[in-house]
Amino acid sequence: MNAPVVSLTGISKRFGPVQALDDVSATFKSGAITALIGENGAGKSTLLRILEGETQPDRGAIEIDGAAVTIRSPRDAHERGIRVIHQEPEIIPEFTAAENIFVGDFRTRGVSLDRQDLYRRADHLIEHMGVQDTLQPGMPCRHLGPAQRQLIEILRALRPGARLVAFDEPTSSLTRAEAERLFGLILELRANGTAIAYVSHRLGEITELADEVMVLRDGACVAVEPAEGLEEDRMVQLMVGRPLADLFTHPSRTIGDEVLRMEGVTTAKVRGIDLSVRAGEVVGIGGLVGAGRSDVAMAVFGMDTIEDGEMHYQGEPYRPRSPADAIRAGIGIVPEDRKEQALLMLQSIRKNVTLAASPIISRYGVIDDRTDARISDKAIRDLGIRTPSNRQEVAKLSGGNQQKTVFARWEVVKPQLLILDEPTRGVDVGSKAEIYRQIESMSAAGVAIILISSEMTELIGLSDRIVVMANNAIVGTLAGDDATEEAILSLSMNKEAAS
Amino acid sequence: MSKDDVLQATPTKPSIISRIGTQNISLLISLVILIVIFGFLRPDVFFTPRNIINIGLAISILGILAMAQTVVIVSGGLDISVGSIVGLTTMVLAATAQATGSDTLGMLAALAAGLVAGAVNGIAIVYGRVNAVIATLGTMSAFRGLAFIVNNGNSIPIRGDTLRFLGAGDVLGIPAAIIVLLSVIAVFMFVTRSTVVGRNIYAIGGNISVARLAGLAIKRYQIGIYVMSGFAAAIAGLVLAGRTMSGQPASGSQGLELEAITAAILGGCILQGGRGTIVGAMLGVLILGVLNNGMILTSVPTFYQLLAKGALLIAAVSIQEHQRIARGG
Repeated sequence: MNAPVVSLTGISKRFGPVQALDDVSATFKSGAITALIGENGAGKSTLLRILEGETQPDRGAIEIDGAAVTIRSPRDAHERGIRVIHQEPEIIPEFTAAENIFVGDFRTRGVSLDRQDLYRRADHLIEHMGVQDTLQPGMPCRHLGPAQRQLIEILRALRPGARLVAFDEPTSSLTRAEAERLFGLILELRANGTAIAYVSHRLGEITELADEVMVLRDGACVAVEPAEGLEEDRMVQLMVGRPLADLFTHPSRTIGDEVLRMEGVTTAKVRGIDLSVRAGEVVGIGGLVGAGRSDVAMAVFGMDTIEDGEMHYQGEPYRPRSPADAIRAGIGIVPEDRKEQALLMLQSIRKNVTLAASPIISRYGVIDDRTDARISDKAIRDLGIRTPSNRQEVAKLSGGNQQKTVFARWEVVKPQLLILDEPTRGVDVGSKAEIYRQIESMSAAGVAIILISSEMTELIGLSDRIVVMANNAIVGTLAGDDATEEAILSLSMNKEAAS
Repeated sequence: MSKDDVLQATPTKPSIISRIGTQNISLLISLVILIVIFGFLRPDVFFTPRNIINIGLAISILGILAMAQTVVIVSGGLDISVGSIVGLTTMVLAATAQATGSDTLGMLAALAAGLVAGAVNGIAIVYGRVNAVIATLGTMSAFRGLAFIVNNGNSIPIRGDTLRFLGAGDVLGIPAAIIVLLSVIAVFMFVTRSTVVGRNIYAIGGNISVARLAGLAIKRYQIGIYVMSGFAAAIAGLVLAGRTMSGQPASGSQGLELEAITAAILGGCILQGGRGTIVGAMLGVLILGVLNNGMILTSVPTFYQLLAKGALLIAAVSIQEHQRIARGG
């Protein structure tokens, strides 16, 4: 019973000035699910990278089945049965789903690829996971959504020979039903004696799934406790090292004039959107991933062409043709994908903060260095970005501080309408609380806010009103006590109403 | 970094080394090594004022092109048509001067031709949606073709004192061509370091989606950058025409684009865009200039010089990529 499969002893790893892991020991046992929790930057990802052979530890030992090993590369790890499921999987767009699942493990007949064998194996895996509705082996991967990509990554790891499977936030892009199926599969893996490491920010999942919870803070392991009877509050307290104050403060606000009104707005991706946001109001958009929530944001922000319907901004007709038009009108956006849409990762905090603020920091097109520095330093202080200086490269910041940098950009520009698309994705609990306070203080100052979020607590806790989307259209509006998790979910699932 | 490592009240002054940049320090070291080698091999000629001025003249055209190429590469593009634009503008200059009898009008026509050629590149890339390498590979051939068409493949002699001054004149002993180069460097340094336009070019090259969502007018910038590159090539064309006092359709076909790209990459540009500096590129130009000059002084045959320059470009890119991976960028 529960023999150790992989043991880590005294693992330390330093990246420049950052001690990413400090003398961490962990044991992943056969038939047990070990949850790894901690704030961003606590060392979870580094631990996974070491397990996967992507990074070599500075000190410490790794044993597999009691024998000391060195894991040289991801390929080496794969062959030893260690499989890591990444949050942002590498998918080859030119390949089909089946080809992507088995890449690196193609079998040949004669000199040519044995397609029959490939599709038979893919069919088998997909059926086993029960995701035939979502993923077919022949699908070209170019147009797959995040959930389907995630499924491919999971199926890759389940190829034969898995001894330890590590999941890195596997549910962040899955629907509830897909997540439930994944949990079933994880439990099945456990029953077969596979060791499982499970990283997630969703503490509800942890209590549901895990046998044991390991808490990392600032690179050190601060607790290993049985999951049974472990309260969420206790987990949060262990992660942040202090009791967490109430996340939402609900400051008093005055709701002002209408800032944005959408009437029957239709783009290539959404149909007949009616939406109104007033100054000082937070309007939430709920629904499943792929329901068209971000596409509403894209329409407002001038990224997608409006095919039908009208928009009014502060009472005037509004028809943006580019994000530049939207920003000129007084609209800001915190987009969904921080690294690809929001931040210049290799540039300084300062250049990122004042990126949309050129009229403020320049005269006749020449940048005033002092103003530039003063404005970014003020935004850094206001947002509580932890950094040695405004010249720090954004890539070197934690996820939470990166996200605060995106908010700082709009704090400088002061838009009248701010669109937030998953504003706390991949952000640690401490930064989350700070971002919530920032959102609340902006709406108290009269900024109209559209909040798109998959996190129910945040959506319900921050919004005055929640519109729910399904199948690229709005299917209902919930306010006050009606805005419950159950009500949002049942509307999101209600496909009849949408079509 | 500890959690309490918050912003300090006074921003830290960057050290001298970090101001110059490690990249530029290794370039300076390479340059010194080259100077020591050639100075040792030809102590009689290498350090004479005449030879130093020769190096300066030899790099004036390359330097102008390399500055513009740096900005193009920083924005995430590439312009391999610049050599052909140089040749084309010398022909436009000569033909206009011949027709009107005014070398000044010829020079204005050449500058206009450079702007148009750059606009053609920009429009093909932005609105034609052609990849920058392919678009400028195509116009490299097309512009060279045009240069030959102007006078049936023959060169055209030019007369005129303004142009002669640009090619052979001097101010207080400093050749006019070198003054042109220094002015171009000054303008590019100012634009890239101190203006909104410069900063936005780095943003576009760094990540085009981020730049678009931050409200930058991407297309306008991209077209503007290629127009600028064409204009810089025309300035280089003026200097070249002044030196030969003729329009030469095949001028610029001696691998000027290769050398300009090599200098920019040596100077720290990465082809993905977003990184690279004017100072770095200028050091790259000096390295190429000293290398060319030294190889001539030590009688390295031309064919071997070509071989050396090609190898240098590939080595520079390879070193860049390895450093980038080591940095984790």
